[in-house]
Amino acid sequence: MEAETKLVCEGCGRRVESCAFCDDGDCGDPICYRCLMVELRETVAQPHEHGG
Amino acid sequence: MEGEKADVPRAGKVARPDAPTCLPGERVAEVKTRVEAAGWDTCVVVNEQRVVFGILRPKQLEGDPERTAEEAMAPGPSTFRPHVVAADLGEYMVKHDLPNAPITTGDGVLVGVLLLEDAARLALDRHGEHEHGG
Repeated sequence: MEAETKLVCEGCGRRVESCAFCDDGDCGDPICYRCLMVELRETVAQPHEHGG
Repeated sequence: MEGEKADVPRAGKVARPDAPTCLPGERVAEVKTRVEAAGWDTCVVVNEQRVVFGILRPKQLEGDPERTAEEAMAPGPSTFRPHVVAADLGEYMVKHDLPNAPITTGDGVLVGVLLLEDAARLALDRHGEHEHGG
């Protein structure tokens, strides 16, 4: 059975088990790892594979 | 574009390199004594190569003193790379009420610990510059 994921990333809406920034499973402003990496400019969002 | 942020303080430069560390097998009692003597309330659990395994924050340090650091630690804490803009991290640390954040190399080796007070000050300074057109 898939683990319950009650948090939703504030950036993309993806469901996450805990906040990628503070590791808190009850975080009020959860963010997923992918959005966090973009926010901290560790990486850039990739364009759509069919152009962009 | 290149060099645009060359003078912006980075997490690796702002992080405190003297943050307390301990090995996984050390007892929490000894670690806590050492951490408090150094004026800290957090200890990063590392191996001999200083690769981060976990972190002991006040909640863990106040637990069973007979446990080992490995048993008590919060494993696999979020870590951040040295090149990240410290003020960016500061804004997140304030928002998430995170008192400190380990800064590591891409291989997981501890560079230092970024304190909320240091990072938040840089975030506030940046806001001040924007407001004054800087």
